[in-house]
Amino acid sequence: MQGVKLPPAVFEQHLPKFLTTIWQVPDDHDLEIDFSRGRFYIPVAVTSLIARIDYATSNGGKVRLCGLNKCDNLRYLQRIDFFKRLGVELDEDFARRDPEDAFVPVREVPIGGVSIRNDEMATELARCLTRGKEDELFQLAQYSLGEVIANVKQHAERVGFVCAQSFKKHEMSRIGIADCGIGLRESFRRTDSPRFQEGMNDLQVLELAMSPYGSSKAHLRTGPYGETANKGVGLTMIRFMAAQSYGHFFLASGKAWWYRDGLRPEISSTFPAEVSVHGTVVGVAFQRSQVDDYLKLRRLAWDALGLTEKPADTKLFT
Amino acid sequence: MKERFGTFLADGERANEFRFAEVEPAIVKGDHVVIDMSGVTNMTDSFGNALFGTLVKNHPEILDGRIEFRNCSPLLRTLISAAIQFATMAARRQQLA
Repeated sequence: MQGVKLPPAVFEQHLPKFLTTIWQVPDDHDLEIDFSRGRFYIPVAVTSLIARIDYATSNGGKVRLCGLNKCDNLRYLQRIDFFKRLGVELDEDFARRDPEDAFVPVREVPIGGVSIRNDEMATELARCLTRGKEDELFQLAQYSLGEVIANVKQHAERVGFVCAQSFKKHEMSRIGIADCGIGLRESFRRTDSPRFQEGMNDLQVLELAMSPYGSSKAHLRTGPYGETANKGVGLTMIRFMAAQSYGHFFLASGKAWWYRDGLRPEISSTFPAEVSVHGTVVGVAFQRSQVDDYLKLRRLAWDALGLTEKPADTKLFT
Repeated sequence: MKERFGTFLADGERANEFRFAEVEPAIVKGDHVVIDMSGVTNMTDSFGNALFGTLVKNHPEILDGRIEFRNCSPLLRTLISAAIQFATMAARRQQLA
Protein backbone atom coordinates (compact mmCIF):
# COMPACT_ATOMS: atom_id res chain seq x y z
CA MET A 1 0.00 0.00 0.00
CA GLN A 2 1.42 3.38 -0.96
CA GLY A 3 0.74 6.45 1.15
CA VAL A 4 -0.66 9.71 -0.19
CA LYS A 5 -0.44 12.56 2.29
CA LEU A 6 -2.95 15.22 1.37
CA PRO A 7 -1.83 18.84 1.72
CA PRO A 8 -3.50 21.22 4.21
CA ALA A 9 -5.16 23.40 1.61
CA VAL A 10 -5.83 23.24 -2.09
CA PHE A 11 -6.70 26.33 -4.11
CA GLU A 12 -6.48 26.63 -7.89
CA GLN A 13 -2.76 27.41 -7.96
CA HIS A 14 -2.06 24.24 -5.98
CA LEU A 15 -3.92 21.91 -8.35
CA PRO A 16 -0.97 20.74 -10.48
CA LYS A 17 0.92 19.69 -7.36
CA PHE A 18 -2.21 18.21 -5.77
CA LEU A 19 -3.04 16.14 -8.86
CA THR A 20 0.57 14.99 -9.02
CA THR A 21 0.33 13.85 -5.40
CA ILE A 22 -2.83 11.83 -5.87
CA TRP A 23 -2.00 10.37 -9.31
CA GLN A 24 1.66 9.48 -8.82
CA VAL A 25 0.90 6.14 -7.20
CA PRO A 26 1.31 3.39 -9.82
CA ASP A 27 -1.88 1.63 -10.93
CA ASP A 28 -0.89 -1.69 -9.36
CA HIS A 29 -0.46 -0.21 -5.87
CA ASP A 30 -3.17 0.11 -3.23
CA LEU A 31 -3.70 3.60 -1.84
CA GLU A 32 -3.55 4.89 1.72
CA ILE A 33 -4.84 8.46 1.79
CA ASP A 34 -3.86 10.52 4.79
CA PHE A 35 -6.24 13.36 5.67
CA SER A 36 -4.49 14.41 8.88
CA ARG A 37 -3.33 17.81 7.57
CA GLY A 38 -6.60 18.62 5.79
CA ARG A 39 -7.99 22.13 6.32
CA PHE A 40 -9.55 23.45 3.11
CA TYR A 41 -10.12 22.02 -0.37
CA ILE A 42 -11.86 23.76 -3.23
CA PRO A 43 -14.57 21.74 -5.04
CA VAL A 44 -12.40 20.60 -7.92
CA ALA A 45 -9.88 19.16 -5.45
CA VAL A 46 -12.68 17.23 -3.74
CA THR A 47 -14.12 15.85 -6.97
CA SER A 48 -10.65 15.03 -8.32
CA LEU A 49 -9.95 13.00 -5.22
CA ILE A 50 -13.23 11.11 -5.53
CA ALA A 51 -12.50 10.41 -9.21
CA ARG A 52 -9.01 9.20 -8.27
CA ILE A 53 -10.43 6.83 -5.69
CA ASP A 54 -13.10 5.72 -8.17
CA TYR A 55 -10.32 4.90 -10.63
CA ALA A 56 -8.38 2.86 -8.06
CA THR A 57 -11.35 0.85 -6.79
CA SER A 58 -12.81 0.25 -10.24
CA ASN A 59 -9.46 -1.26 -11.25
CA GLY A 60 -9.48 -3.67 -8.33
CA GLY A 61 -7.29 -1.59 -6.04
CA LYS A 62 -7.84 -1.10 -2.33
CA VAL A 63 -8.09 2.34 -0.75
CA ARG A 64 -7.65 3.12 2.92
CA LEU A 65 -8.53 6.51 4.40
CA CYS A 66 -6.53 7.53 7.48
CA GLY A 67 -5.86 10.54 9.69
CA LEU A 68 -9.53 11.47 9.74
CA ASN A 69 -9.53 12.19 13.48
CA LYS A 70 -6.96 14.95 12.89
CA CYS A 71 -8.57 16.37 9.77
CA ASP A 72 -9.77 19.94 10.37
CA ASN A 73 -12.21 19.89 7.48
CA LEU A 74 -13.70 16.48 8.29
CA ARG A 75 -17.12 17.96 9.02
CA TYR A 76 -17.08 19.94 5.81
CA LEU A 77 -16.20 16.81 3.86
CA GLN A 78 -19.04 15.01 5.62
CA ARG A 79 -21.49 17.82 4.89
CA ILE A 80 -20.72 17.72 1.20
CA ASP A 81 -21.18 13.94 1.18
CA PHE A 82 -17.58 13.25 0.21
CA PHE A 83 -17.49 10.00 2.17
CA LYS A 84 -21.01 9.01 1.17
CA ARG A 85 -19.96 9.17 -2.50
CA LEU A 86 -17.14 6.78 -1.66
CA GLY A 87 -19.57 4.41 0.07
CA VAL A 88 -18.01 5.09 3.46
CA GLU A 89 -20.34 5.53 6.46
CA LEU A 90 -18.98 7.83 9.17
CA ASP A 91 -20.74 8.96 12.33
CA GLU A 92 -21.60 12.66 12.27
CA ASP A 93 -21.20 14.61 15.51
CA PHE A 94 -23.11 17.62 14.20
CA ALA A 95 -26.63 18.42 13.09
CA ARG A 96 -27.09 19.05 9.39
CA ARG A 97 -28.70 22.44 9.04
CA ASP A 98 -28.72 25.26 6.58
CA PRO A 99 -25.08 26.39 6.54
CA GLU A 100 -23.96 29.99 6.61
CA ASP A 101 -21.85 29.34 3.56
CA ALA A 102 -23.46 27.97 0.44
CA PHE A 103 -22.08 24.68 -0.74
CA VAL A 104 -23.45 21.93 -2.86
CA PRO A 105 -22.95 18.30 -1.86
CA VAL A 106 -21.09 16.16 -4.36
CA ARG A 107 -23.41 14.79 -7.01
CA GLU A 108 -22.80 11.95 -9.40
CA VAL A 109 -23.14 12.65 -13.11
CA PRO A 110 -24.28 9.50 -14.89
CA ILE A 111 -22.98 8.37 -18.26
CA GLY A 112 -24.93 9.39 -21.37
CA GLY A 113 -28.67 9.06 -21.75
CA VAL A 114 -31.26 11.17 -20.02
CA SER A 115 -31.55 9.32 -16.71
CA ILE A 116 -30.81 12.61 -14.99
CA ARG A 117 -31.77 15.76 -16.83
CA ASN A 118 -28.93 18.25 -17.29
CA ASP A 119 -31.23 21.22 -16.75
CA GLU A 120 -32.66 19.94 -13.49
CA MET A 121 -29.28 18.99 -12.02
CA ALA A 122 -27.65 22.27 -13.10
CA THR A 123 -30.56 24.32 -11.77
CA GLU A 124 -30.62 22.55 -8.44
CA LEU A 125 -26.86 22.97 -7.98
CA ALA A 126 -26.90 26.62 -9.07
CA ARG A 127 -29.77 27.36 -6.70
CA CYS A 128 -27.79 25.85 -3.81
CA LEU A 129 -24.80 27.95 -4.79
CA THR A 130 -26.77 31.20 -4.66
CA ARG A 131 -28.88 30.12 -1.67
CA GLY A 132 -32.08 30.25 -3.67
CA LYS A 133 -31.51 33.65 -5.26
CA GLU A 134 -32.11 33.63 -9.00
CA ASP A 135 -29.70 36.43 -9.78
CA GLU A 136 -26.95 37.00 -12.34
CA LEU A 137 -24.61 34.58 -10.58
CA PHE A 138 -27.37 31.98 -10.64
CA GLN A 139 -27.70 32.30 -14.42
CA LEU A 140 -23.95 32.07 -14.92
CA ALA A 141 -23.66 29.06 -12.60
CA GLN A 142 -26.67 27.40 -14.20
CA TYR A 143 -25.14 27.85 -17.66
CA SER A 144 -21.68 26.63 -16.58
CA LEU A 145 -23.03 23.61 -14.74
CA GLY A 146 -25.32 22.75 -17.65
CA GLU A 147 -22.35 22.73 -20.02
CA VAL A 148 -19.86 20.83 -17.85
CA ILE A 149 -22.45 18.22 -16.88
CA ALA A 150 -23.27 17.71 -20.57
CA ASN A 151 -19.55 17.29 -21.32
CA VAL A 152 -19.17 14.47 -18.81
CA LYS A 153 -22.31 12.72 -20.06
CA GLN A 154 -21.21 12.94 -23.67
CA HIS A 155 -17.47 12.35 -23.44
CA ALA A 156 -16.30 10.65 -20.25
CA GLU A 157 -17.78 7.18 -20.71
CA ARG A 158 -17.71 6.93 -16.95
CA VAL A 159 -19.59 8.66 -14.14
CA GLY A 160 -18.33 12.06 -13.09
CA PHE A 161 -18.56 13.98 -9.84
CA VAL A 162 -19.56 17.60 -9.47
CA CYS A 163 -19.78 19.96 -6.51
CA ALA A 164 -19.80 23.70 -5.89
CA GLN A 165 -19.31 26.20 -3.08
CA SER A 166 -19.70 29.88 -2.36
CA PHE A 167 -17.93 30.72 0.86
CA LYS A 168 -18.84 34.02 2.47
CA LYS A 169 -15.28 34.97 3.31
CA HIS A 170 -13.98 34.18 -0.18
CA GLU A 171 -14.91 36.34 -3.13
CA MET A 172 -15.23 33.29 -5.34
CA SER A 173 -18.03 30.95 -6.26
CA ARG A 174 -16.51 27.69 -7.35
CA ILE A 175 -17.54 24.68 -9.40
CA GLY A 176 -15.51 21.50 -9.70
CA ILE A 177 -16.14 18.48 -11.88
CA ALA A 178 -13.96 15.43 -12.44
CA ASP A 179 -14.20 11.92 -13.79
CA CYS A 180 -11.83 9.02 -14.31
CA GLY A 181 -13.19 8.24 -17.77
CA ILE A 182 -11.43 8.07 -21.09
CA GLY A 183 -9.97 11.58 -20.99
CA LEU A 184 -9.77 14.19 -23.73
CA ARG A 185 -7.18 12.52 -25.94
CA GLU A 186 -9.13 9.28 -26.14
CA SER A 187 -12.39 11.12 -26.72
CA PHE A 188 -10.84 12.89 -29.73
CA ARG A 189 -9.33 9.64 -30.96
CA ARG A 190 -12.52 7.57 -30.66
CA THR A 191 -14.59 10.12 -32.51
CA ASP A 192 -11.99 10.41 -35.24
CA SER A 193 -11.98 14.19 -34.92
CA PRO A 194 -10.44 15.83 -38.02
CA ARG A 195 -8.76 18.47 -35.85
CA PHE A 196 -7.01 15.85 -33.75
CA GLN A 197 -3.70 14.36 -34.81
CA GLU A 198 -2.00 11.43 -33.14
CA GLY A 199 1.24 13.36 -32.88
CA MET A 200 -0.32 16.05 -30.69
CA ASN A 201 0.95 16.23 -27.14
CA ASP A 202 -1.54 16.42 -24.26
CA LEU A 203 -1.11 20.18 -23.93
CA GLN A 204 -2.15 20.63 -27.52
CA VAL A 205 -5.13 18.38 -26.86
CA LEU A 206 -6.20 20.60 -23.95
CA GLU A 207 -5.89 23.70 -26.15
CA LEU A 208 -7.97 21.99 -28.80
CA ALA A 209 -10.70 21.09 -26.30
CA MET A 210 -10.89 24.71 -25.13
CA SER A 211 -11.05 26.25 -28.57
CA PRO A 212 -14.36 27.07 -30.27
CA TYR A 213 -15.38 24.24 -32.59
CA GLY A 214 -12.94 22.15 -30.55
CA SER A 215 -15.28 19.50 -29.21
CA SER A 216 -14.25 16.01 -30.16
CA LYS A 217 -17.79 15.51 -31.44
CA ALA A 218 -18.28 18.82 -33.22
CA HIS A 219 -17.70 17.28 -36.65
CA LEU A 220 -19.98 14.28 -36.27
CA ARG A 221 -23.09 14.03 -38.36
CA THR A 222 -23.91 10.58 -37.10
CA GLY A 223 -26.47 9.62 -34.49
CA PRO A 224 -30.23 9.41 -34.61
CA TYR A 225 -30.76 13.09 -35.37
CA GLY A 226 -28.17 13.55 -38.09
CA GLU A 227 -26.06 15.96 -36.01
CA THR A 228 -24.16 15.97 -32.76
CA ALA A 229 -25.40 18.23 -29.99
CA ASN A 230 -21.87 19.29 -29.20
CA LYS A 231 -20.29 22.16 -31.10
CA GLY A 232 -17.49 22.85 -28.64
CA VAL A 233 -18.60 26.24 -27.41
CA GLY A 234 -19.51 25.63 -23.76
CA LEU A 235 -16.05 25.07 -22.30
CA THR A 236 -14.67 27.94 -24.35
CA MET A 237 -17.32 30.34 -23.08
CA ILE A 238 -16.86 29.23 -19.46
CA ARG A 239 -13.11 29.74 -19.73
CA PHE A 240 -13.51 33.27 -21.04
CA MET A 241 -16.33 34.25 -18.67
CA ALA A 242 -14.23 33.05 -15.72
CA ALA A 243 -11.40 35.27 -16.95
CA GLN A 244 -13.70 38.26 -17.47
CA SER A 245 -14.95 37.92 -13.88
CA TYR A 246 -11.32 37.77 -12.60
CA GLY A 247 -11.99 34.20 -11.56
CA HIS A 248 -10.09 31.01 -12.32
CA PHE A 249 -10.21 28.27 -14.92
CA PHE A 250 -8.32 25.00 -14.63
CA LEU A 251 -8.31 22.01 -16.95
CA ALA A 252 -6.30 18.80 -16.75
CA SER A 253 -6.38 15.53 -18.61
CA GLY A 254 -3.70 12.94 -19.29
CA LYS A 255 -0.23 14.36 -18.85
CA ALA A 256 -1.07 18.05 -19.09
CA TRP A 257 -2.74 20.89 -17.21
CA TRP A 258 -3.80 24.43 -18.12
CA TYR A 259 -4.61 27.27 -15.72
CA ARG A 260 -5.60 30.92 -15.95
CA ASP A 261 -6.00 33.28 -13.01
CA GLY A 262 -8.28 36.14 -14.03
CA LEU A 263 -6.91 38.02 -17.00
CA ARG A 264 -3.30 37.13 -16.25
CA PRO A 265 -1.45 35.14 -18.90
CA GLU A 266 -2.37 31.48 -18.78
CA ILE A 267 0.12 28.92 -17.55
CA SER A 268 0.26 25.32 -18.61
CA SER A 269 2.62 22.43 -18.34
CA THR A 270 2.92 18.69 -18.12
CA PHE A 271 2.93 16.55 -15.02
CA PRO A 272 6.06 14.61 -14.04
CA ALA A 273 6.75 11.68 -16.35
CA GLU A 274 5.22 9.04 -14.08
CA VAL A 275 1.97 10.98 -13.56
CA SER A 276 -1.10 10.81 -15.76
CA VAL A 277 -4.55 12.06 -14.80
CA HIS A 278 -7.01 9.42 -15.97
CA GLY A 279 -10.13 11.22 -17.11
CA THR A 280 -10.75 14.95 -17.06
CA VAL A 281 -10.69 17.63 -14.35
CA VAL A 282 -12.37 21.03 -14.72
CA GLY A 283 -12.30 23.73 -12.04
CA VAL A 284 -14.07 27.06 -12.50
CA ALA A 285 -14.31 30.06 -10.19
CA PHE A 286 -16.20 33.31 -10.70
CA GLN A 287 -15.55 36.41 -8.65
CA ARG A 288 -18.99 37.29 -7.33
CA SER A 289 -18.56 41.06 -7.25
CA GLN A 290 -17.79 40.95 -10.99
CA VAL A 291 -20.88 38.96 -11.88
CA ASP A 292 -23.45 41.73 -11.84
CA ASP A 293 -24.39 41.39 -15.49
CA TYR A 294 -24.39 37.91 -17.04
CA LEU A 295 -25.24 39.19 -20.49
CA LYS A 296 -22.33 41.63 -20.41
CA LEU A 297 -19.97 38.84 -19.34
CA ARG A 298 -21.11 36.74 -22.28
CA ARG A 299 -20.51 39.63 -24.66
CA LEU A 300 -17.04 40.24 -23.25
CA ALA A 301 -16.27 36.54 -23.64
CA TRP A 302 -17.41 36.61 -27.27
CA ASP A 303 -15.25 39.65 -27.94
CA ALA A 304 -12.24 38.04 -26.29
CA LEU A 305 -12.78 35.00 -28.47
CA GLY A 306 -12.82 37.10 -31.57
CA LEU A 307 -16.35 35.90 -32.35
CA THR A 308 -17.93 39.28 -32.82
CA GLU A 309 -21.53 38.87 -31.91
CA LYS A 310 -23.84 40.35 -34.50
CA PRO A 311 -27.44 40.73 -33.39
CA ALA A 312 -29.71 38.54 -35.48
CA ASP A 313 -32.27 40.21 -37.67
CA THR A 314 -34.70 41.90 -35.30
CA LYS A 315 -37.58 40.75 -37.53
CA LEU A 316 -36.95 37.27 -36.12
CA PHE A 317 -38.10 38.42 -32.68
CA THR A 318 -41.68 39.40 -32.14
CA MET B 1 -40.68 25.69 -25.05
CA LYS B 2 -41.14 26.03 -21.31
CA GLU B 3 -43.82 23.33 -21.21
CA ARG B 4 -41.57 21.00 -23.15
CA PHE B 5 -38.11 21.77 -21.75
CA GLY B 6 -38.57 23.80 -18.57
CA THR B 7 -37.27 27.29 -17.82
CA PHE B 8 -33.63 26.38 -18.48
CA LEU B 9 -32.92 24.95 -21.92
CA ALA B 10 -29.85 22.82 -21.33
CA ASP B 11 -29.88 19.42 -22.97
CA GLY B 12 -28.44 19.47 -26.48
CA GLU B 13 -29.49 15.89 -27.14
CA ARG B 14 -33.13 16.72 -26.45
CA ALA B 15 -32.82 19.86 -28.56
CA ASN B 16 -31.47 17.77 -31.41
CA GLU B 17 -34.33 15.31 -31.13
CA PHE B 18 -36.92 18.12 -31.11
CA ARG B 19 -35.36 19.80 -34.16
CA PHE B 20 -35.10 16.56 -36.09
CA ALA B 21 -38.48 15.08 -35.22
CA GLU B 22 -40.70 18.16 -35.11
CA VAL B 23 -39.21 21.42 -36.34
CA GLU B 24 -37.47 20.30 -39.54
CA PRO B 25 -40.45 18.29 -40.84
CA ALA B 26 -42.61 21.41 -40.38
CA ILE B 27 -40.08 23.51 -42.29
CA VAL B 28 -39.85 20.97 -45.08
CA LYS B 29 -43.66 21.10 -45.36
CA GLY B 30 -43.37 24.88 -45.80
CA ASP B 31 -44.93 25.81 -42.46
CA HIS B 32 -44.20 29.08 -40.71
CA VAL B 33 -42.48 28.15 -37.44
CA VAL B 34 -43.13 30.06 -34.22
CA ILE B 35 -40.91 29.38 -31.21
CA ASP B 36 -42.52 30.69 -28.03
CA MET B 37 -39.95 31.39 -25.33
CA SER B 38 -42.27 32.76 -22.66
CA GLY B 39 -41.14 31.65 -19.20
CA VAL B 40 -37.74 30.51 -20.46
CA THR B 41 -35.01 32.22 -18.45
CA ASN B 42 -31.71 30.69 -19.61
CA MET B 43 -30.15 28.43 -22.21
CA THR B 44 -26.83 26.68 -22.77
CA ASP B 45 -24.91 27.08 -25.99
CA SER B 46 -25.18 23.31 -26.44
CA PHE B 47 -28.95 23.60 -26.60
CA GLY B 48 -28.98 26.75 -28.74
CA ASN B 49 -26.50 25.35 -31.24
CA ALA B 50 -28.23 21.97 -31.46
CA LEU B 51 -31.65 23.46 -32.08
CA PHE B 52 -31.37 26.93 -33.61
CA GLY B 53 -27.82 26.80 -34.98
CA THR B 54 -28.26 23.49 -36.76
CA LEU B 55 -31.70 24.53 -37.99
CA VAL B 56 -30.25 27.61 -39.66
CA LYS B 57 -27.33 25.64 -41.02
CA ASN B 58 -29.62 23.03 -42.59
CA HIS B 59 -32.30 25.50 -43.73
CA PRO B 60 -30.75 28.97 -44.15
CA GLU B 61 -33.87 30.04 -46.07
CA ILE B 62 -35.90 30.12 -42.83
CA LEU B 63 -34.25 33.42 -41.91
CA ASP B 64 -36.30 35.03 -44.68
CA GLY B 65 -39.44 35.29 -42.60
CA ARG B 66 -40.23 31.60 -42.11
CA ILE B 67 -39.34 31.46 -38.43
CA GLU B 68 -40.06 33.82 -35.54
CA PHE B 69 -39.22 33.86 -31.87
CA ARG B 70 -41.81 35.18 -29.46
CA ASN B 71 -41.50 36.46 -25.90
CA CYS B 72 -37.70 36.38 -25.70
CA SER B 73 -35.94 38.20 -22.86
CA PRO B 74 -32.89 40.29 -23.87
CA LEU B 75 -30.70 37.40 -22.68
CA LEU B 76 -32.56 34.85 -24.78
CA ARG B 77 -32.39 37.14 -27.81
CA THR B 78 -28.63 37.32 -27.41
CA LEU B 79 -28.27 33.58 -26.93
CA ILE B 80 -30.40 32.75 -29.97
CA SER B 81 -28.58 35.38 -32.06
CA ALA B 82 -25.26 33.86 -30.97
CA ALA B 83 -26.38 30.36 -31.98
CA ILE B 84 -27.44 31.62 -35.41
CA GLN B 85 -24.24 33.60 -35.83
CA PHE B 86 -22.16 30.64 -34.72
CA ALA B 87 -23.86 28.36 -37.25
CA THR B 88 -23.30 30.87 -40.02
CA MET B 89 -19.62 31.18 -39.12
CA ALA B 90 -19.21 27.40 -38.86
CA ALA B 91 -20.80 26.94 -42.29
CA ARG B 92 -18.46 29.55 -43.77
CA ARG B 93 -15.54 27.86 -42.10
CA GLN B 94 -16.57 24.49 -43.52
CA GLN B 95 -16.81 25.97 -47.02
CA LEU B 96 -13.30 27.37 -46.74
CA ALA B 97 -11.82 24.09 -45.47
